[in-house]
Amino acid sequence: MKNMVEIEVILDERYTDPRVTIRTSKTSPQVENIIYAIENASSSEFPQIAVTDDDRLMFISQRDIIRAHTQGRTVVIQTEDGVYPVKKTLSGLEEVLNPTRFLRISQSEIINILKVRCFDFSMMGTIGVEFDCGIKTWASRSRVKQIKDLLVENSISKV
Amino acid sequence: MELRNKFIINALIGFIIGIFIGLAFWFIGDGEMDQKQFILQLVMSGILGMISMGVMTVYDIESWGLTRATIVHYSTWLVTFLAISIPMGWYEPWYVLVIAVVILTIIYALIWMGFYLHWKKTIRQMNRQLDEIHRKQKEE
Repeated sequence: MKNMVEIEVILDERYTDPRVTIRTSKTSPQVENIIYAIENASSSEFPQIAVTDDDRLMFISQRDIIRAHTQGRTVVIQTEDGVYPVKKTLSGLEEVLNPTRFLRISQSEIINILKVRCFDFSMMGTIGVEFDCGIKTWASRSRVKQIKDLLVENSISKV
Repeated sequence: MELRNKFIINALIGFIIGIFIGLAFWFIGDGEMDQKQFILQLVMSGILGMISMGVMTVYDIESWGLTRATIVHYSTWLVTFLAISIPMGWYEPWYVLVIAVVILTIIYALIWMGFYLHWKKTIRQMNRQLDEIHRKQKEE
C-alpha cells in the first residue's frame, strides 16, 4: 500500500500549539505535499470555503479564490480551476473571507484584490477590473474608496 | 428601496431650490405679474428643479457608467427645461433660449469632463499601487 498515510493524533496537554512530526523513510513529493498542506492549514486563520462540485463537497483555500459573485439566485466562487456554487450568501461569505484580501466591489461581487491585474476607466465611465487570469468585471463607483484603502493597506504592509 | 428614497429626497430638495430660483428671477425681472402668474411661475420652477435634481439619482445606480448617467440626466433635464421654459416664455426671444441651452450644455459637458478626469486619475493611482503590490509579491 504505497501511498497510505497513517495519521495519529495524540492528546497531550503540554502542547498548546499543535506539534506535527512526520516520520518517513525518505523524503518524497508526497511528504512535501503533506508539509505544504499542513503549513497552508495552520498559517491561515481564515477558514477554507466549502463548495459543491458535482454533488461532491470540496474545500477551497482562500488564497485560490479569484472572486465570488451571484449567478442568478446562487452564489458561485471562481478559482483558476473553475466555478463552484457555494451555499452561503455574499454577505455570509464576507464574514468569513479575509478582509485584508477580499472586498465587496458591488451588490453582486466580492473580489480577491491580490488576483487583480489592473483597473481601467472607459469612455462609458465604468470602472473595469481585470484579473490576472483575464476575466473582466466592473466595480461600483461608490466602493472605490474602500478599494483604495485596501490597496494602501496591502502595499505598505507585508503581503 | 434606497434609490427610491434618495430620489424622493433629491426631488424635494430640487423642488425647494427651484422655487427659490423662481423667486429670484421674479425679483430680478421687472415684468408685471399677477398673483396667478406668480404662483404658476413658482410651481413651474419648482417642478423643473424637482425633476432636474430627482433624476440626478441615476448617478447612484451601481451598474450605470458615469457617461450613461450623464446622458440620461442631461436629456431628461433638457426636455423638461424646454417643455417648461418655452410655454412659460422665460427666454424670449428664441435666440436667448438657444444661448441659454448652449451655455448650460457647455457647463454640463465641463462638469462631466471634470468627473471623468478625476476618475481617470484615481484609477491611475490605484494601478500604481497594484503594481507595487505585484512587485512585492514577486520578491517573496
